Amino acid sequence: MTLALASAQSSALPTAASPLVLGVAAVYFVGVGAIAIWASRRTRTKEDFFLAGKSIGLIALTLAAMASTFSSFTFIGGPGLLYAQGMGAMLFVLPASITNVLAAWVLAKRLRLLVEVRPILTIPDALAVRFGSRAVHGLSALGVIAGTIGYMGTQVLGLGVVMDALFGFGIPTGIWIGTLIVTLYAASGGILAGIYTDVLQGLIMAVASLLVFLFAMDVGGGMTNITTTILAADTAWTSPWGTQTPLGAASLYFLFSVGVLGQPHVMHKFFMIRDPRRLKWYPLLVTIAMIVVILLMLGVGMAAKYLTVTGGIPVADLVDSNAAAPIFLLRFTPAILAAVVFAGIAAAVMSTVDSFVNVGAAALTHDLPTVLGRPIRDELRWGRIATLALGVTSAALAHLAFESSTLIAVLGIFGYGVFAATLAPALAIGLNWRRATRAGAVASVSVGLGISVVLGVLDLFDLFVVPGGITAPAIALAGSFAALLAVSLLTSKGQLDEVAPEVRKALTM
Amino acid sequence: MLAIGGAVVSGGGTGPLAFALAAGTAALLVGLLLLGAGADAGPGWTWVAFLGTGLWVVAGFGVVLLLPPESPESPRLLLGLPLRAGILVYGVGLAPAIVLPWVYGVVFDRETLTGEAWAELRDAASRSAEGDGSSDAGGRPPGSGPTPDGGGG
Repeated sequence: MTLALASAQSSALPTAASPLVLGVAAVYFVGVGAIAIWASRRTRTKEDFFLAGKSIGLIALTLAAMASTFSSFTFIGGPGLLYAQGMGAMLFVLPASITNVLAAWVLAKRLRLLVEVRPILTIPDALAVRFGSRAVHGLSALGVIAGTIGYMGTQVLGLGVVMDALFGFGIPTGIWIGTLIVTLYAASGGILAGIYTDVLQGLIMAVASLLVFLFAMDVGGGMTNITTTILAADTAWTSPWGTQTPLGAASLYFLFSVGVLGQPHVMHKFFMIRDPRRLKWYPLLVTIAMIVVILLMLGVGMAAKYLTVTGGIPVADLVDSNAAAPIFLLRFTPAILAAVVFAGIAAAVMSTVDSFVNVGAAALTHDLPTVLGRPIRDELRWGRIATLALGVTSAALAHLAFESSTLIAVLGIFGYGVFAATLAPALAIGLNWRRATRAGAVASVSVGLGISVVLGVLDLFDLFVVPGGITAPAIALAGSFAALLAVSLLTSKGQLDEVAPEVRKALTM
Repeated sequence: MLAIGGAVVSGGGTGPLAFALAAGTAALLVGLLLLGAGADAGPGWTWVAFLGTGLWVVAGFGVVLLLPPESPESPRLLLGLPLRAGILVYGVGLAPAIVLPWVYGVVFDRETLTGEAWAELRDAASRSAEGDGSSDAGGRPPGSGPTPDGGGG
């Protein structure tokens, strides 16, 4: 999703500023502030700050996972991409039907049980427990930091665009004000504030998406009428691959179905559920929630195309395809719904940013010092400081990226790809396969990180384009899987038999 | 991996390579699901659901690649979407969501995490913490255990 988002957020959206929109946005931000104050009073230890005290329930986990997975892509980039590139854009979100149950079966229980037997705070911690390796811990923490900075830069830029659309005070100012709000509540209330603002944000996203989809279908006279009208005017738009090659589309399916297992801001949440037996209906609930939110992308993208074909929206108004959703909302839905969706867009970006900033802060103040043999005594205090520092760094990067569309694209692709390639194979296979070895994990994380960095640099300077339309992070992910399997089969040291009995029990029961 | 390598080597993508990549992705997904659930379940209906889903995804991509493009004169639709896109959205995208999350919920108490297993693990964690003279939150470092490459992480 980052790929499209990355190319989506360098230009301003139509400004929605009106008393109603401002009023709804104000109510939303007051709600976020209230949650932050409540959470900051409950955050007393590093476990509270980074793991929400392992106290959250099923509904909170569901909405938080959904909200932090979806960014502004679902509301702006996605509909714009569908409008511009056709049905192939759906390849970005189709894997959602399988990724949640995959994460549940492969990682959710394992991660939650591990945190019961070891004082784990982070995903790199979990890898260190499994492989008993400082190298795996350090390399995966570096991957988390690199991915966080890349992804955060894109997300914070998106936040600036949304703040500008809401209040009309310019993207650069929007970047800094939006970041200030997120980092303040993330620094004061830690992940607890993040989780419960995500719950509020997830609810807004789901309700708004369902209503907008219904309006979109109504405007177009139903799905069949929309499709036949578009088909008569632009057959290529209806191709299942859109403007991509079939191979490029298949590589997106590969990246977004398997790569989700390496997204630390989502996997990290499995540490936090109070009772792992509540995971029973998690995949069903979160999948339903995601499908509901995806309806907005499908409905608005199709309706925008239909309206340009039938003259309801002048094509010139959608030269920037990212204006599709805002223009549809402002012209074809009731003002109160548009206001709620604009607040929902802000919510979507903020929920993603708050998760990333917490994960990045944990890598900086917990993982790296531990690996270097200099653990920090007051991790709560330094976690807050690191949260603020990451926010400032990301805002500065986003400000810089605002000037360079190439940098924006590379940052987003780099972030998702680094997470997927450095963490997904080591986590998914490492926590479940007895024969996965320490050397295999080191190879996997190194190869994933290395290929991601090399391809990111080559991409930045236009030195190499992957043939066949394949998305570059898919290569890093495939290489990382291959390295883990090959090296594990060739080595024997560091197998599951060597870990402590209670850890082995957590990984095998 | 072979499909990606093939595309890089050949300098471009073709339908068969796209199908190979889709099939490889489905095989990897099924493999990971079997790995995740395998220790809990063993062969049974859960495995049937995994393999069935994998085959369904492969078939979906295959049919979409084989079907001819839609034409405005005689539009073929599937639940309101162009046929090929409909197969991808409803078949590959939606159908697994109808099956797998239900299976996960239904088998959870029996195959994934029983109440006894959870209690047993908590007991083991308590005994381990007492053995260390520490609590869970402040106990042994995460990577405790044999660490030939230089530490507990």
